[in-house]
Amino acid sequence: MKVTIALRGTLKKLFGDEPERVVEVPDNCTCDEALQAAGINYKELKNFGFVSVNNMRVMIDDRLNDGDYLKAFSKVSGG
Amino acid sequence: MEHRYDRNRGTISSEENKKLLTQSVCVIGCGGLGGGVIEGLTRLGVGHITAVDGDVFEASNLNRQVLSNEKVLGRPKAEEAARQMKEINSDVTVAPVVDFLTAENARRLIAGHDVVVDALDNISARKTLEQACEAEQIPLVHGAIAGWNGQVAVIMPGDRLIQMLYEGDADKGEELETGNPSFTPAVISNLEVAEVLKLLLERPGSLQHRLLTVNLLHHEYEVIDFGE
Repeated sequence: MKVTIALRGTLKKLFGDEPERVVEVPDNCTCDEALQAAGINYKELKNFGFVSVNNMRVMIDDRLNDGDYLKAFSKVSGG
Repeated sequence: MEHRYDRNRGTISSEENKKLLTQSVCVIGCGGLGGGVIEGLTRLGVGHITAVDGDVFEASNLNRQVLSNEKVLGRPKAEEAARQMKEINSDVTVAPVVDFLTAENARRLIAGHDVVVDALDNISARKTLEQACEAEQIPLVHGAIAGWNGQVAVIMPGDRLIQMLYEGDADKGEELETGNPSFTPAVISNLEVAEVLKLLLERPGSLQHRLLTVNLLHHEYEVIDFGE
């Protein structure tokens, strides 16, 4: 199946000039696995915040469906 | 002062403005976000504001914090908030608290207010504040900034959005990398003011269960559903 991945905040630079990336992943793969397919290991990112699927916040180990839109947000905490 | 609230009309009725004068908001943090929030609430005519910050102004605040200027360097931020707001709107009382929020004082600081505003700059204090707001059953308006990015949400007692947003033990986010320029706190603080107003006047459209994320570089404005 295919899912689309977009990054937000300073994570954006990890995709260079690409606003989003479509990746082919196995059926029922998790958000974490899809990010890894796009070259992102969230555990290595100090400012990794949370993920959403189709604009709903989900857990990193939640499973994806074909056509899902996954976004990864950075941690924002200044004031 | 006659005509003070004339330009609120059409958006805020005369009766609603009278109601605002009786209401109270506790703003935790008087820096980039807090300064903008306090000024916005003061100009709207929210009658009782508590301004909490244990810090003093320093030169590195001047790029973005609207309560700072060269004359007040070294002065307590909370006291400056009270002094400056008196010159803007004498209908409003700003009570300064020159202290940092802690687990020990959090409930006492926020008790009795209609709404609390998160204008903090670290994650551990935000977690403390969310717990205190839940214990005191007071709505919390969350805001945070980093570089071109910011976010806003409304947290009702029991929602625990801060817990969901900031998993792990880190106390800071990407603002350590990006810094904070002038325009992002200006935008986010005023979005917080709008959410406070909706809560005070019981207007629809609040950001409860939702996080508005803003990227001013790419003009991405997204509302993420955090579930009920």
